[in-house]
Amino acid sequence: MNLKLVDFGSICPLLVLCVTAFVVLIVDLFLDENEKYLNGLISLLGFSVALGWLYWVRDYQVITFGGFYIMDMLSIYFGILFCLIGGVTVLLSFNYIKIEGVNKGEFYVLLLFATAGMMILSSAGNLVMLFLGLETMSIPVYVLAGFRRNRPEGVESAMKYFLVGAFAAGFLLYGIALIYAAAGTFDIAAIAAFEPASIVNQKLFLLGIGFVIIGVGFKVSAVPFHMWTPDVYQGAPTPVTAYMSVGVKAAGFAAFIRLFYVAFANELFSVDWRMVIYVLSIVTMTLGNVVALTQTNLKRMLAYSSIAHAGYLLAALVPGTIEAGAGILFYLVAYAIMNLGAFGCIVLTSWKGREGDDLKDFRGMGWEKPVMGVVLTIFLLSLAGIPPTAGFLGKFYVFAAIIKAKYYWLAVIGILNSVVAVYYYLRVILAMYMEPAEVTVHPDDRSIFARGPFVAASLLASAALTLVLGLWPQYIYVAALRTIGHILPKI
Amino acid sequence: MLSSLYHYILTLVIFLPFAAALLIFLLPKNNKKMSLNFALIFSVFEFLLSLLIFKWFKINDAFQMQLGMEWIPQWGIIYHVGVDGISLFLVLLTTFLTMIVVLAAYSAVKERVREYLAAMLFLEFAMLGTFLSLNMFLFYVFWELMLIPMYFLIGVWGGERRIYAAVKFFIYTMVGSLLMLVAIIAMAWSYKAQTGEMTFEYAKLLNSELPIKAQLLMFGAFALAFAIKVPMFPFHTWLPDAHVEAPTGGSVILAGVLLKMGTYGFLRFAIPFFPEAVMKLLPYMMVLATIGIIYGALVSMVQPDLKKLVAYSSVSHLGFVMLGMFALTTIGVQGSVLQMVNHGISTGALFLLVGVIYERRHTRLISEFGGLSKVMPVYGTMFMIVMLSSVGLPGLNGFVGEFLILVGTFTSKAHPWMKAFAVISALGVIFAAVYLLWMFQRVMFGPVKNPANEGLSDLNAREVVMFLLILVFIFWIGIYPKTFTDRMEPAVNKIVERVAPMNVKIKTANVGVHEMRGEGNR
Repeated sequence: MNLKLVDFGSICPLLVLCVTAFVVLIVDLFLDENEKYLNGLISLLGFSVALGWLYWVRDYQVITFGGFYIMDMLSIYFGILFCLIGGVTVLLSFNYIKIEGVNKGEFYVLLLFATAGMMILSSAGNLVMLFLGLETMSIPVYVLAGFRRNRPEGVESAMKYFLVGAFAAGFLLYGIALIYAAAGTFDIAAIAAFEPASIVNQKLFLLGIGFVIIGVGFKVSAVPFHMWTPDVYQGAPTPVTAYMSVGVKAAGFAAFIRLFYVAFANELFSVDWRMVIYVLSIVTMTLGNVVALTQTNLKRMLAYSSIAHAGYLLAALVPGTIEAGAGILFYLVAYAIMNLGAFGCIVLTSWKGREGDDLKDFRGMGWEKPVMGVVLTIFLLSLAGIPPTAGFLGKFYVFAAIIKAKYYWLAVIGILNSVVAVYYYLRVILAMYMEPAEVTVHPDDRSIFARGPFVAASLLASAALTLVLGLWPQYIYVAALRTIGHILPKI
Repeated sequence: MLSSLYHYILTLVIFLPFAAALLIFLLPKNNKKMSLNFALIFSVFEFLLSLLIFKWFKINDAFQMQLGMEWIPQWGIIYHVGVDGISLFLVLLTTFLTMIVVLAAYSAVKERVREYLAAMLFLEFAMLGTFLSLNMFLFYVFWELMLIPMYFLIGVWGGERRIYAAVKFFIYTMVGSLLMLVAIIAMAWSYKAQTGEMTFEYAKLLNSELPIKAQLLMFGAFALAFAIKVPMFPFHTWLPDAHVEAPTGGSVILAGVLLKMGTYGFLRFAIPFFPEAVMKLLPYMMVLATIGIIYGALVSMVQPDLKKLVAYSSVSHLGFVMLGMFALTTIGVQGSVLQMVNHGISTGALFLLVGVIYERRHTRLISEFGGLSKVMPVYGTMFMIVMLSSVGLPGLNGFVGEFLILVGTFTSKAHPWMKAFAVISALGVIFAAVYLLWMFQRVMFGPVKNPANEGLSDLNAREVVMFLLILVFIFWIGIYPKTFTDRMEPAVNKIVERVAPMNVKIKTANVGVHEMRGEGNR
């Protein structure tokens, strides 16, 4: 294989993230404890440059490294989303890790590497590359989950995530091996063209698809591979939880879209995996929503809510149409914004030695700190899918696509699920506005500015974006439509 | 200047309360008076603006003062508003009642006044948007938007079990409306399959041809959403809770306008969209409406709590609205629309009256009162007129609505049992007289037994103005309903022609009575 300059050009955003990571690693050595914020600023710069670069080349399309690395609209769309998520996570972390006493440069380094892994995952043109991306993403996140290693929950979180993740990786690898055994190739484009020679061949391939679904299903916390989610989300540092819940999920769906829209799009197989995803999605959203009803810890509740959202997204994978795909892409952006925002509010309520993520901690907050109350209300209403928010339009696009494909029952079940979801999102709002305050927090700790300007800025921006996307979805939605139109096989 | 305002007036009317709801937060937090005055000025101005709509309204069946602006073009989602004879009066009712509620807030609301008013104004914005939307997507957005301020109004300023009531209200409404969303989307797709055009436009979707099976399912989804909102028996259980727990202003708006969303939805969307399904399900809807009338009235009779009594009387009155609507005659539907307005005014006023006494005594139990007319003569007079209007005394508004509905139902040829429904429902009028007069007697007449009632102050000037404004409309509709029925008629006819052509011959109210006689002779 001979490499050309264009090959390196296409992975530049990826290289930017990696180089930034190394720079932070080195710079960190020379920083005093009170200068550590520079680490964050450098990583923020890295994310911004990578994001700008991706935006600049947004209509680019090259397949490089012998088909291993694809730089097309899909990977750019996701790349931009990942950089955005990474950037917001950095903003949320500045103060948090300082207060938690884990203000280490490595935090940002791991974040940058994990994001690089996500970008590899969304650009993979080859199943081996897909696996590589998944692992590059996962390993730093395992470490991040246990970043507060002085705390038992932190260690539990990391340990659980790692063990389950390793297990999932095994499944994925086995699936890839089976697909290779059937199709004789790792290349996604070649797999898409694969015609089974015999019935055994076909069954082998289907089995491979099944294992791949399990492997990636762990990452997006689809039921029944979700067991780790609440514990890991609760134990991990809150910004990391935010990062996991949107970043890792988006990366998982990047893989799913690449696989289901390109690699396994063949009618011979799609009948079967559609059925599997159909059932998975219903089970996932129902379990996520029903169990979330009984949670009194906000982080756990949002963990189950993230399972439910994975269910809606899986449902949108079923039709395999252009509208459904665009719906997923739009939904992921909306979900990223509102979920980062919701976790950001929990970052605000936490203080040393106490997570501040219990429902009780939110009592009376709406009146005490009105700005934060309004902002969190916007995020929760958006998560519940009430107009005019981004979350509503995300659901609208997704369910409209499902209805168009005539999966009426799936749509009705999904819609009824969002009624269930309304209940637990409302519970937080009613704690904030309708229940008397319990003085458990120093009042200043609840201000939106209590954790410095970065958190406040990211929260206000996310809240504004949630509304703006809910009212003027055009720009993102058209981009999503074009992106999916681009990867669908030309008829 | 004015001519260019013609097209923008509806948008102005919709968004003005929204602007006011935001602007009110610029006022100082603790200055109650200033917030109240601000909201009052805005809501009076808003009402005057809506009178301009009334003035410009021409009597025909078209949507007027339309404005369309692109919103999400790929999906045929347009910001499209317009007013016709049906929505006209509901818009006026909304702006009128909001004004009254703001006036009532001077004494009714004790804490967080600024936020209360903001929620009220935001609610007004959402309600007006719902009535004026001509795009299904826009309609749905406003429809859902209404829930949020009402949820806060009940949950923050409500009574003892306010949280339970607020959540119940929200979830109940949500179940119905989300299924309606599925039906709306399915309609849009089926229209696209027929014509190749993706649209959520009301006028265009009216032309889509749906097989009867699809019609039945979609009608079911729409009807569930609206029936919960009305509320029709057996979907009414959220209503007493919400009413009892809501603050006075919340109850007034809830009964006065929010319940009309359901009946308006039936008339505007569910009935014209699915004519065949309507004809098929007509008897069931009539049965439910009749049960609602009788059941609501009977349950009202035994309520010890004034507010609960009024709440259940709403179930009965709204049953009349549904009855007249599904009679599918011009008179019946006209009566039904008129009764929506009447109920808004009369029941709104009843809730205000209950609120007045609650502010003074902090109880609403009928057994606590007695002989109030001696202590508070002005209050007693106002109460009597409003109560009689709710009973349906000729010369007051309630009579006209109920009469038209019963005549419309009796003459309807849409279903062979129509006469039976009319006769049974007429019992509801008698029951209404029973529970309201009995309540009035126990509260107002007799000796003043309870010493706590002795020193009660009568209505003050603000409250008198408030009720006099309401009385104007009670008498106006009662004595000269033509102002209202004339403007409704073309729009109502259009729906009747579309759904029940057999009823077209029975034209306006006055002509209708003659025709009814003529047919009787034949």
